[in-house]
Amino acid sequence: MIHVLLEILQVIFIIGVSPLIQGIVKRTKAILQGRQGPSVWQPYYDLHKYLNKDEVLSIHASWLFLITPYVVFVTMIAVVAMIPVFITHTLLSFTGQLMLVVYLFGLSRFFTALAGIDTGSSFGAMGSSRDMFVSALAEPVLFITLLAIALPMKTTNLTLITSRAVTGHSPLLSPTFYLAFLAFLILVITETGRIPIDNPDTHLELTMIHEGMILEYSGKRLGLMMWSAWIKQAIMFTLLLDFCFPWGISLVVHGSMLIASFIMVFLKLTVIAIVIAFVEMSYAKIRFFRIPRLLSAAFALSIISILTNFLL
Amino acid sequence: MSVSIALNIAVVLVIINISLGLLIVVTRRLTYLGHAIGVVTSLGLVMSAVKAMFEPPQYVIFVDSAFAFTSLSFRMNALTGFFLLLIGIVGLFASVYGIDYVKEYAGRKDVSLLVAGALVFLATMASVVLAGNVFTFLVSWECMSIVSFLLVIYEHEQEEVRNAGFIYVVMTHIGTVFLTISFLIIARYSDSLSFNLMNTNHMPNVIKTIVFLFALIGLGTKAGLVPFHIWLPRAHPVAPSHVSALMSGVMIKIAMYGFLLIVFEFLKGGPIWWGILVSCIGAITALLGVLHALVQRDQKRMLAYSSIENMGLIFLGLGLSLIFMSLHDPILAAFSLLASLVHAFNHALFKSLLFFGAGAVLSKTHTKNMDRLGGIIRKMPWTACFTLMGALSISAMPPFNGFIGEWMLFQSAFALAMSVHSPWMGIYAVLLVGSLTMTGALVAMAFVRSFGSTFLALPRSEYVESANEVGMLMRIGMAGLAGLCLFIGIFPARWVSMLGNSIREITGMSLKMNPFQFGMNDIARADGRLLLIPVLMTSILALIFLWGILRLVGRRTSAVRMETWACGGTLTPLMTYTASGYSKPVRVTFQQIFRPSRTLQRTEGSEYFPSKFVYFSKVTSFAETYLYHPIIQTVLSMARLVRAIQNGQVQSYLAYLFVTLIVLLILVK
Repeated sequence: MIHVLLEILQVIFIIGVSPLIQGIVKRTKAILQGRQGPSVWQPYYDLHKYLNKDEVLSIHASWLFLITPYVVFVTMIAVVAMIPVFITHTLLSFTGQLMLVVYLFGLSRFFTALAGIDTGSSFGAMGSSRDMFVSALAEPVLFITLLAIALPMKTTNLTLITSRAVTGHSPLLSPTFYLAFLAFLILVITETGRIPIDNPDTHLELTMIHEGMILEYSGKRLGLMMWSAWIKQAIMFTLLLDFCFPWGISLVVHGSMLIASFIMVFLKLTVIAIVIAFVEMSYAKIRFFRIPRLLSAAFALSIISILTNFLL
Repeated sequence: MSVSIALNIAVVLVIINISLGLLIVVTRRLTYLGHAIGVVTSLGLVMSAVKAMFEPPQYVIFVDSAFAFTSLSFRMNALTGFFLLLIGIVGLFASVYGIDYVKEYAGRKDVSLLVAGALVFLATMASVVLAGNVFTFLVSWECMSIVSFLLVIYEHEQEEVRNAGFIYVVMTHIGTVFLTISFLIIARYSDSLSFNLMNTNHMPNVIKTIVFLFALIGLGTKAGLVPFHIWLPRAHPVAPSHVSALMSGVMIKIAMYGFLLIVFEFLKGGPIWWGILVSCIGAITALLGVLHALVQRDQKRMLAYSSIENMGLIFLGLGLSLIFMSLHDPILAAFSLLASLVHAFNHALFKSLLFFGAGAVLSKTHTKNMDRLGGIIRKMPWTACFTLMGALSISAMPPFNGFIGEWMLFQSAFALAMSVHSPWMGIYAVLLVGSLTMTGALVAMAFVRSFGSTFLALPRSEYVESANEVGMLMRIGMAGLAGLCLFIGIFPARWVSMLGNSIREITGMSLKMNPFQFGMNDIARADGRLLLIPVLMTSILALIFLWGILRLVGRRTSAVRMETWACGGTLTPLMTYTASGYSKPVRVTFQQIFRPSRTLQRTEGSEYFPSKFVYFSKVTSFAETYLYHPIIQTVLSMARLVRAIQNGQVQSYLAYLFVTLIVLLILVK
C-alpha cells in the first residue's frame, strides 16, 4: 500500500515540479544574460492565468484540434507513471517499457503535429513538418543510446535498469558511460526543444518548431500544451538522471532513506536545469539543415559506446 | 466440425468463388449475387481458418488426375489457417466495402467484371495458401498473378494504368520463374511433389543456398522487397481501391507464406548469413520504402510505398528468426517469427483500412493528389475518423495494433544484441534496432503528412467542394477494420497466444504460454510482458485527475471562434502547407537518394514582372536509376549490336542457316 502511495507521489511530484524546473532554467538564463528575469515561480502564475482565460479558437479547427491538448497531457502522465524518480518502483513496470515510453512521446507528437496543420496556419504546418523530421532523426539515436545503457543491464524494464544502476559499481570509470552520456545530453536538448535545436522562448519567428505547432492555441488548451511540454522536459531530465547519475535513488521504502533520496533528486534536477541553461547560453541556434549533423554526431557517440561495451 | 471438414469447406468455397466469377464474366449479370457470395465465402474462410488454428493436426485431401504430376492436393494446418484468416477477414470487409465502391464505376465501366475479378482473386489467394503440393501451389500462384494483373488494368483506357500493368506482369513472371525453379529443385531431391513429403536432409549445402537465393528473389519480387519492388508502387495505386487493399493487405503476405514454406518448413533454416542477408534486405527495404512514401503526392502510391516498408519490417523479423535458428536458440527464433506474423496480420488490417479511406476520398473528390485536397474532415467526418485510426495504427502508436508488432520486432532485435558475444553481430543488431525506430518515426511523419494534407486545413481545390460522406457499406467496411485495429491493440495477449500454434507448424517450438509473459532467456525471466491495459487505466485516471485540476484551478471558460491568424492578411487555401512542402526537409536531407530536381518556368508576363509560373519538381526512384536503368540500357545496346545481322534480306538469313548447319555438322561429327 505504502508502495503504491509513494509511486503515486512520484507522479504528482514530477507533474507538480515541472513548471519549477522550467522556471529555474529561465531564471538561470536571465541571470547569465545579465537580466533580472522572472521569478522561478513564474511558470505557475502563467499556468494559473492560462487555465482561467477564455479561448480564441480558429474557425477552421476541427475536433482533432480540440482534443489534442487532453491527449497530449494524459499521454505525458502515462509516461510519468513509468519513470522511477526517487524510488526505483513505478506504478507501471514491465519489459519493453523503454519502447513504450518513446512511442508514447511519439503519440503526443503525432497529435500535436496534426493539430499544427489543422488550423490551416502555415506556421503550424511548418513547425509540424520540422518537428516530425527532427524526431525521425532523433528517435533512432535515442533508442540506440538507451540501448547502450540498457545492454549492460540486460533488460528493457526501467525499474530494473535503475535498480541495477544503483546497486552496480559506479559506472563513472567506463568509457561506455561517458559516450552514452554525451549522446544522451544531445538528445535531451533535442527532445526538450532547446537551443541549439529549437528555441522555446521564441514566438513568431520562422525558426520555431514546437512553438509553431501550438501557435493557434490559447487559454486553457494552451496552458495544457505548455504544461505537457514542461512535464516532458522533467521526464527527459529524470531519465538522464536515472540512467547516468542514479545515486541516491531509494531501493527500499524506509523513512530517512526516502527523505534523503527526495532531496537528492530535487538537487540533481536543479543542477541539470542549470547545466541546460548554460548549454543554451553558450550556443547559437543552428540552421535547421545542420541538425542532422548534430544528431549524427550523437549517433556515432552511441554506436562507439555500444562497441566499447562489447569490447571491454 | 473437425479440421477435415474445415478444409473441405474452404476448398468448396474456393470452387464456388471461381465458378461464380466465371459465370458473371460470361453472363455480365448477377453482380448482386457476386457481392453476396463474396461476403459469405469470406466469412466461411474465416470460420474454417479459426478452426484450423485452434485444432492444429493437419489434414490433406487429394484430387487425383491421370498424371501424377498434375494431381491437385490441398492441406490445412495452423499456419495455412493463419493466412486463410488474413484472407478471410480482409476479404470480408473488402467485399462489404466493394458493394458501395463499385457503384463509382457504374455507367462508365462494366462493373460485373470487377465484381467477378475480386471474387476470383480472393479464391486464388486462398487456394495458394491451401495448396498441398507444388503443382497446386504454382497453378494457383500463377492464377493469382494473372487475375490481379487483370484487376490492375481495369481502367485500361489510361496510359498510366497500362504501363503499370505491363511492368507488373513482367516483374511477377520473373519472380515466378525463380520460384518455380526453387520448388522443382526441392521436389527433385525429395522425390515428391507433396509438401508433406518434402525432405531436404540429403540436399548438398550449395543446392540449399541456390534454393534459398532463388526463393528470396522469386518471393521477394512478389513481396516488393528492394530492389525488386518497382512494380508495386505502380500497380497497387491504379487498381480499384478495394482491390488495392486486397493486393497490399493480403497478396504480398502470400509471398511471405511462400517464404515460410520454402526457407523455414522445407529447408529448416540455414547458415547465419542467410538470416543476416534477409534482415539486411528487410531493413533497407523498410527505410527506402518509407523515404519514398514520404515524397509521394499520390495518396495511394504513398500507401503502396508504405506497404513495401512494412514488408521490409516483416522480412527483418524473418531474418532475425533465421539468425536465431542458426544460433540454436529456438525460443527467440519462435518469438521473432511470431513478431513477423503478428506484424503481417496487423499490416493487413491497417493497410486495407487506409486504402479504403483513400478510396473513399478518391470516390468523392476524384483526385489522389494530396496537394489538391484538404479540409475533408468536415465533409467526411467518419472517413476521417477511421483513416486517423489507421494512420495511428500504422505509425505504431499505442494503444493500436501496429505497436504490438513493432514492439515484438524491437524486442527480438534487442534480444539479438543481448545474446550474441561478437561485437560485430552486436553492432549489427543495434543497427537493426536503429533502422526499425527510424522507420517508425518516418512512418509517423509520412502519415501525419498524408492525413494532415488530405483531411485537415483548408480545401486546396474545387475537387473538395462537392465531397460528402460515403455510403453506409463503405463506412461499415472501414469501421470493422478500425475496430479490429483498436481491439487487438488493447487486448493483444489472447490473440498473440492463438498464433502460437501456427509457429509450431514451422519451428516445432511450442509457444503455448502467453508470449507477453514468457521469459526471453535472460532478458526478463520473471516479468517479460507488455501491459497496455494498466497504461490505459492510468490514462483514464489521469484524465479524471486532469478534470479535477481544471475544476480546482480554473474557472469555467468560454471560447470564441475567429479566423486563423495569417500575419494580418486573409487566410487563403493557397497559403496552407501542401504535402510537397511538408516533406521538403526529407527531400533536402536525403538528396543523395532522391536527387530532387526542380524547374521554374515563366509562362506569362515580362522577365521582371512575371505573372504566371509553371513549377515542376521531381524525385528519382533509387532502384530504377541505379539498377534497372543500367540493365535496360545494357540490354538495349546489346540488342543494337544484334541488329547488325538482322538486315531483313532472305539471302542473308539463308546464309546464316547454311553456316549454322555446317558448324553443327562439324560439331556433331
